[in-house]
Amino acid sequence: MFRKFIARLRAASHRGDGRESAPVLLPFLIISVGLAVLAWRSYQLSLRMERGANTLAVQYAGYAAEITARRVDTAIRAELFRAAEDWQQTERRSPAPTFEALQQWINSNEWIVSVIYVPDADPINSIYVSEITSKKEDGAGQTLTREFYTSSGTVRYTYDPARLLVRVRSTVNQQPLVRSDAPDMIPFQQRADVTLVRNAPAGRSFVGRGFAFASPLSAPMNNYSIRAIVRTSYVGSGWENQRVISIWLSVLAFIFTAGGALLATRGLRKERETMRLRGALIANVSHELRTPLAMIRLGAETLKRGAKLKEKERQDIEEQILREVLHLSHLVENVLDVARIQHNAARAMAFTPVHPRELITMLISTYESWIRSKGFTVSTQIDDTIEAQYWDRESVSRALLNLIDNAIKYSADDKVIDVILRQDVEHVIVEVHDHGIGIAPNDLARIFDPYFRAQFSDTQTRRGAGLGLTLVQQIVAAHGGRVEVESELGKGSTFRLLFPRLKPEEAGAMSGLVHAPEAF
Amino acid sequence: MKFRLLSLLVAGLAAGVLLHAEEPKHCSASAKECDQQIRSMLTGRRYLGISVVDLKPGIVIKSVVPDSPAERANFKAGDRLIAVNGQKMTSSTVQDFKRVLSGARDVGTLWVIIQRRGAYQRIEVRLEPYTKAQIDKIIATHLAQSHTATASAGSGPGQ
Repeated sequence: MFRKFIARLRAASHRGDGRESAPVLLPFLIISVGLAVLAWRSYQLSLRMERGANTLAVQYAGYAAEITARRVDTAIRAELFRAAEDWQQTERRSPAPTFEALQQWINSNEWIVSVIYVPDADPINSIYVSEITSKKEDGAGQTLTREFYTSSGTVRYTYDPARLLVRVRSTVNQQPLVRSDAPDMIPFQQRADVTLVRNAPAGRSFVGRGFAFASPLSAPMNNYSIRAIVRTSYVGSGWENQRVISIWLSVLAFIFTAGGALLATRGLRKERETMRLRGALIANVSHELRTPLAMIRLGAETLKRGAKLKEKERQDIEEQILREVLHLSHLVENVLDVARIQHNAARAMAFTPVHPRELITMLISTYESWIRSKGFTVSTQIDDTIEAQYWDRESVSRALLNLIDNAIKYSADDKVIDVILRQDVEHVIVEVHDHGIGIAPNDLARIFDPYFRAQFSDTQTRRGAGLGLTLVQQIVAAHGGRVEVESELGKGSTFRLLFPRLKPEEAGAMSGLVHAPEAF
Repeated sequence: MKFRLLSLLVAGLAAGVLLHAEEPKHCSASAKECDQQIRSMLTGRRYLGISVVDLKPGIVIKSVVPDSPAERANFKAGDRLIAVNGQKMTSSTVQDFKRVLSGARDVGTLWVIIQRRGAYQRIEVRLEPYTKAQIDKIIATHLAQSHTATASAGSGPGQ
């Protein structure tokens, strides 16, 4: 199953050219989807864990508060009961309690503020004792009244609940629930901070990084509650939060994946381009090489065998061989130049001061006979004011020659080529204008690509490897300039080479050197 | 040596007794505060005016306070309480009786069935609050007990 899938994937990636990137992107897509699923899952899990921990923390706080509150209630009841028992003991010892006895009782229970003892037998002889050390400063704490009956009378006393609670403080501070020592496994503090608070709203509430639960004490301590706070140890919303971390990690991984996919597509595209170029090279160059070679071989064989050839025929054959050899060497040079300039443009050039005017006139006079032989005429239009420029004489000549060659190759009946040399503020411009067949708009963008040849019905009759314009463009680019083309089908094309113009002072500085290189 | 120890012991005892004696026997609150406190504790409080004894089981009146609602309602010492406000008291304790009594304080009326010399008798009694004179007397007693001591103790160190 899996192998089948892989095989299909591989087959798909080797299929046609345009849709190649889709199968290659498939693994990245799978990775991305996987990452997204993982991130979502992790987010969900951490969310659930947080929720669960919150619930546990709230419950924990609730239990702690409730248990402690009930314990405190019990302790308070026990204390009240103990005090009453204490007094009844005293009463049993001496049936008619005295002022001193009552005072001693109040002293032993420091939370009682004042007490009145009303004997049944003699209510008029009630005894009243107020606490010895009256604490005036905490008069804010209100007192509560309580009454109990003994066998011979009634004791009614007021007490300070705050002080009574101080007495049972140790109960509050006991940890109500059993603590387990699982370290860091549980994301909340397994310890409730239990405090005694006054006038707190009962129930649960959220405090910073944790939960509080207040449980009210029962009567007579109605105003007091036991408040337990359980703190959660995970972080609420900061970047340290697990789920935030997981999301960021996923985003990071996704970015990396996307980068990988981008690089892969680019590599693929480059490789496809290389493949295409290789195919074009083989198609064009092999054809271009084979034809002249076949011609040369044919001519050479004819010469060798044909002892009885006429002088005229022999001359024709020799000329043909020579022409083919020239063509061949031109082709090979083009290929080599393209390769050389492509690899290291600047080093392939030898920049020397050159007068453009001189260069063009020399070039045209050199090749005039060849141009004439094709039936063409060249008209030049030269701006005499142009200064010397730092050009590579050889390569610029080659570029112009290629353009003229193209103009000859792709011309119709109007066999005139215009070569114009002019300049503007920034550039020295060389224009080669023909009245040929022109270039289709679709092809305009691609004519400078290596091995590209416009499609004509008679492309095969016009020979060439598709390297001429590539070379022209590379040469001009190596000079820091650019090439512009204007063309209209059936009316001709204009190739405009724009070389950057030297500033006048620079040109002036080297004007003395212009002829020096030629002296060597 | 022996005498010395003995004398030390005696001195210590004496000091303890003295310290104990010096322990303040008075309210630190002022007389006015005590007055207010006693009044607030007794005002509105109704009383009956009998003291009872627990026979286990059963409750018997031990004494009747002179000039109290109980005396006016003709309670006598030795009466056995059978029922109070409809609650059986034959096997109750003093605590139970007092709880019923304190529950009846708001109503102010008590229906009691007693057994006197074998015969049941029904008595209805109204609980009465302390009179102003009675409260004044209680306050006077308290002041005499603790605040005169205050005066003597307060003047003590000054002399």
